[in-house]
Amino acid sequence: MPPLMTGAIVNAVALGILYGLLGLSLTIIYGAMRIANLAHGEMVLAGSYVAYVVTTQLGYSPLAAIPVAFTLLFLLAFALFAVAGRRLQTARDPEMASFLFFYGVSLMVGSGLLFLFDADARSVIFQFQPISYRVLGLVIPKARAVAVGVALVLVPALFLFLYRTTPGKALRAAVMNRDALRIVGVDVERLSLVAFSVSAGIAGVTGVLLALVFPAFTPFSGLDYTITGFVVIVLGGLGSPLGALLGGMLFAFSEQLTTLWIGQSAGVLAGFLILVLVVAIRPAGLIGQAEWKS
Amino acid sequence: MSLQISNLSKSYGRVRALNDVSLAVNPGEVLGIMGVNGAGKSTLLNCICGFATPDAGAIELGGRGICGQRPDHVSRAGVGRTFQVPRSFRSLTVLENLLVVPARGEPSGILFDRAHHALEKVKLATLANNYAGELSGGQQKLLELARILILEPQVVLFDEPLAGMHSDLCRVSLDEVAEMLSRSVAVMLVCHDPGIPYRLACRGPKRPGRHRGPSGRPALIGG
Ligand SMILES: Nc1ncnc2c1ncn2[C@@H]1O[C@H](COP(=O)(O)OP(=O)(O)O)[C@@H](O)[C@H]1O
Ligand SMILES: [Mg+2]
Repeated sequence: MPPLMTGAIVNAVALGILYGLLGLSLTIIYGAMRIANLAHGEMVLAGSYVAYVVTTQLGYSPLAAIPVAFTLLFLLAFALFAVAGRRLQTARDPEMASFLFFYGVSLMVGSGLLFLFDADARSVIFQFQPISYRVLGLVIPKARAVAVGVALVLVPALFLFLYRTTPGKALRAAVMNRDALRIVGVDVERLSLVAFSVSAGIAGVTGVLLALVFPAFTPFSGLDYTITGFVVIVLGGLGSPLGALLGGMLFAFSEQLTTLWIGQSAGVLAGFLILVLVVAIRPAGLIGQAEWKS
Repeated sequence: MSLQISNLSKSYGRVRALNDVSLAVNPGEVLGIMGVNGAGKSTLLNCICGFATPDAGAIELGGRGICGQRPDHVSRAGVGRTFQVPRSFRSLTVLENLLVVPARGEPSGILFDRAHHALEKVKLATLANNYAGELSGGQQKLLELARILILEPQVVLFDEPLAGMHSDLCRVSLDEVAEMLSRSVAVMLVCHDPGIPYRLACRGPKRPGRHRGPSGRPALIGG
């Protein structure tokens, strides 16, 4: 295989798992609560800025930014949900209500970041030892390897939680049928509050990891992440955790390979093209069953 | 525990689904609710369970008002129900469907044993590790029944439990309802065949043959 090709594939796998992570937290929230979290990208971005502060400004390892980002976004989401969650869920059209609410939140977080950090692009500056690895003739930056390594721990941990623990199963059950869950006595509102907060925390961690992979970000980068997140989960099937992972991989591969063969600007286009095709052929996504609808 | 409903009314826009309904079910009693489609039977159950908020009237469970409470509160207060169209968690296994109930302070092993026992009673034990989405409509109704068995509610509301069900499965279902009655559970049963609550009432050991009609009637809609 030509080294460029190998490089593109390695990149695609790395990005794919991060995109999968980006979609994972989004899809659970959408599936279980019908909350279209339009501020997801800004929450991810806030995580990136936490990484910036912890590394570039304070000089600590990006790994130290992970618990900080998680806690900060967990608390932010907890507060948001405590204020608005109940209203959103009992709204006549919860999807539209949450769409508008979180659009507001995304503007708020975005402009908050703009206020705190200015419009200039920021990046995580931290010298890993060694700076890079050589594998199969490829140079792999350690920062990227670390990001992928953390994602490789986090994603299986999330899946273990969702598929092997009772609260995880209850959360998936909420995706399948909320009313049946309430009829057996589960406090779906509290479940939603915790799930939403944890999901935001994971979004923050995802932001730290993305900051290690992408060279720079600005307070306006949030929308890109939101769009990528939604593309990934629509590709995979809304509400399906496994679908988010598959969607992330598919999107990353199409992006990387098209960039290699055609060019940078075609990369993003290819991802959207595949999205349109998948939705046209399988509206429920790759492995979605439209089961979040009751 | 008995369930007492007084002067319940509920409208959806201009559709008056319930009009001044009063009725009571006592422990060990079965109360049949009949009426044409759209008469408001499911709406009555929805009001009791907290899925709908009545416009007027009162609902009391063992003397305590539960009107307007959230479905999970009503469930934990001891009311179980099945749905007209069964609601299961399609991508969980049959066994997992029973294990998502919140812990009530007992070790999870006990819940596990109870779930297995309930599946045996409704003859679904051999399908315990199949996905609920693979079950037939009738079997899904039995799964809802098993869900009720492990929750051990004092008042149970069945919404057309036998509709579209194979006669063998019907027998399994009726046997379980009869056993509930013998354990002094209060049962409300929405169905189209008056023979069913009558037969159950005759089998119930507590008050054989006792058979009362509600004192208010669900409003007839469009008929
Ligand atoms: N959520 C709802 N929104 C609007 N109308 C409803 C709703 N639920 C029930 N209805 C109406 O109330 C009436 C009674 O419905 P229902 O209780 O389901 O009847 P039944 O179970 O006796 O067949 C019907 O006319 C139905 O269309
Ligand atoms: Mg009905």
